[in-house]
Amino acid sequence: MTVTAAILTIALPAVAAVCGLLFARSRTAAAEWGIVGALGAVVASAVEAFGVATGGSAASITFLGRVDLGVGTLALDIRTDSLSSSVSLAVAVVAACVQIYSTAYLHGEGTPEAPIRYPAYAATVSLFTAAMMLVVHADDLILLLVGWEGMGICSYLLIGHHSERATARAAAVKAFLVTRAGDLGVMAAVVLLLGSARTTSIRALIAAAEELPASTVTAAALLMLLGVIGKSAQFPLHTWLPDAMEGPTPVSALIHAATMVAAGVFLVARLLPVFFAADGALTIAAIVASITMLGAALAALAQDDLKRLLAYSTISQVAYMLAGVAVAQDAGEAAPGVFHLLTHAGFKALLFLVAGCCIHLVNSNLMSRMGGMGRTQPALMVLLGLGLAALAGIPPFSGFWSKEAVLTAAEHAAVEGDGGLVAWIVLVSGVLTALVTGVYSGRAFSLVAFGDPAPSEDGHETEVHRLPRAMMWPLWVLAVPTVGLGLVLLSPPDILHGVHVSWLTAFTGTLVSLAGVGWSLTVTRIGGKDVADALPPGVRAFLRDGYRLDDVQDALVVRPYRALARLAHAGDQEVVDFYPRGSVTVARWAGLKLRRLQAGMANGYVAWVVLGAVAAGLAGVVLS
Amino acid sequence: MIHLAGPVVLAAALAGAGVYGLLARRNAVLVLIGAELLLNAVNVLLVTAGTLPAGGLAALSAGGPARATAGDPLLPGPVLAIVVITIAAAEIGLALAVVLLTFRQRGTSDLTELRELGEGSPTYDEHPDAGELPPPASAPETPPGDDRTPSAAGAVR
Repeated sequence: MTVTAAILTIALPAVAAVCGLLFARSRTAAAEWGIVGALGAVVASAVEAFGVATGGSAASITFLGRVDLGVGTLALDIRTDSLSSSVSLAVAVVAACVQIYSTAYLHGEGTPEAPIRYPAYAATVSLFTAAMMLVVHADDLILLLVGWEGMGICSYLLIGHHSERATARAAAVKAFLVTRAGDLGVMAAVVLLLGSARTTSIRALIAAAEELPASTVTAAALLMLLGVIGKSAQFPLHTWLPDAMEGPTPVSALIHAATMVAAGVFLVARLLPVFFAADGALTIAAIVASITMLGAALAALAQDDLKRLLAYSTISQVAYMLAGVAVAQDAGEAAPGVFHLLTHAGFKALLFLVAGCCIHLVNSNLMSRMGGMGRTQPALMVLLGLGLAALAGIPPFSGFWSKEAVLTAAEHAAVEGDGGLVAWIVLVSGVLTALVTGVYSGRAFSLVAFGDPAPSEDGHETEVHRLPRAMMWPLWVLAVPTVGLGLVLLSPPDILHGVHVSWLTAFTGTLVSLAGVGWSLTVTRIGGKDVADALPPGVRAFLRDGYRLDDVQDALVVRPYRALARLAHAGDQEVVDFYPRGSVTVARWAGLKLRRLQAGMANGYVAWVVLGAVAAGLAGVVLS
Repeated sequence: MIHLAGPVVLAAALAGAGVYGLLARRNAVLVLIGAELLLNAVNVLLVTAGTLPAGGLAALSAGGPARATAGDPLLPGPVLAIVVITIAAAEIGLALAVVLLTFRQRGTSDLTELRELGEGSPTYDEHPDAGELPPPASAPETPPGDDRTPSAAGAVR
């Protein structure tokens, strides 16, 4: 039963995607296919998780047969264990909420200039879910790569869903290219491992990680880390994620909460023994995560756009997960990072869907336009408060437990383990990030819930209306794990056995978070409007633009590449095409000249013939 | 038995007269006659060469048999001459027909008058039909202005 359920978690969304695209004649039918696929995946994941918890995990399930490559046999198997079943449950719940929410968020048929294209949207979301399920369950790197690439293409399609907008198209291309730069690393790592270990089976690789040559494992782990950095939007390949906010808001929820960015951390957690066998790979991962978590949190502090704030907070929180995995002291101990992945899936999906409701109400992304919702939309603001409290790590919400687990693991590695300096960096950076996270969470809440909305430019007052039920129900569903997922530690599944929360760390972290939240909430009480006003304007603009890393990227990659493209184009046009064009010119010129020899005199033509004959005769006499 | 120089000199004279006719005459019929003379010069040479002994001129000068006997029963010389005569007959028939039709239409067989198709000629016209398009519904059988057309009986358009 566990085996069937594991296969169904992949198959149901995939079938829903295909059927929704091919057979759905109406918008309603397309929505139903998507919802049925996602709900089926929820049920299948729940059954799978139950089966894993009671009957134990199935290490190898024959899925697509075997492929003999010559260098080795690819066993295209899937597996189900505590890690895959818990992550797939989170993915399925978020996907189902997104599917239901989308029916109301993307209502109507749109205008001819901006069509909604709902069937394609729902089918792509289903396919996205199926791809993530494949990554989660794959026991073979090739299968994992298939799902990985499937997510790449689905994110491209969904970010660029409003393809009539130039910014959406640019964001989609950017997301695709930046993650692709990392994906090349994963592909190279798979080839390297296949060539060295003669297998791509994850189970076999984990078993053989210690025996493989150290240089090979290190190279493979570093290359794979590149893909993780790209997919999970870590510094310096994070620039695609804030721009990806051009996609519809439910898509942002899906990408940020459960699927795309979680896949990178999941890959590290899955292949942790391989990373562990490699010198330095986890150290680099920890340093990257430390830089990213603090930098992204500071950037989130200066955002004016609610969705971009959440995007930077995602980058920061994913860095927490990566740090939680990277400070592991034991090859089996990915627990704190995975736990944060699960709680983050819940509260970040909630936050994005709430942000979608706010945007739906005021028709703008700017937080300055959203003020005063505490009076007009109290229920929505309660949900926003729950999500932000979990994000900031206020007890007893889910984010508190997972964030303190990560910090405890870092402290454990720094003080007792052999984590050394790197673990200290992670710990300090994590505590500072907790403070900044508290500040920007409180700032977002005070801006959206309190205060007065700035009048819109067109003077048109937004009318207060009730949100559709399809948009509110998923929020309450997601609020349950946001509040209560910490309870899972009372009876943790296998994968979370390594989660410990030390009292001292928890106390410090909570105090720091509360200080941040309290500061930004009291600022509005004592006359200030926005805690970010405390920043100098230049610094604020610098942070808002994400440290101008887009400009750096532009100067280092985009412009040289464009110049190269121009050079290649010029080489094609001016050098290669010179010869065909030159032959045309020469032939035309020669034709124009030679045509003048045609004088129309028959005797003249014969004279040429005679001349030729005489020349041939002379040549014969002379040469013979 | 005649000396070999006789037929060779005859052929040279015929070829010279033919080339002169081809290059210097303006009347199309005389140019054709020049071409025929050239072909017949070739025929004379072929027949003469056919009587040489096996080995050709080298065998003759080496003091071969006094009487030239062609060793080849297929008689290549006369046979090739017959081939040339056949081709010449076909060619002259076709060419005379062209000359005849040209004369009927243009009233002349002077080649210096028939230069319109050469791009380098002063009478060349890039679009010869441009002045006639579109043709009027009641177009006359012969184009106006073509005053050289003689009697127009059976004129080919």
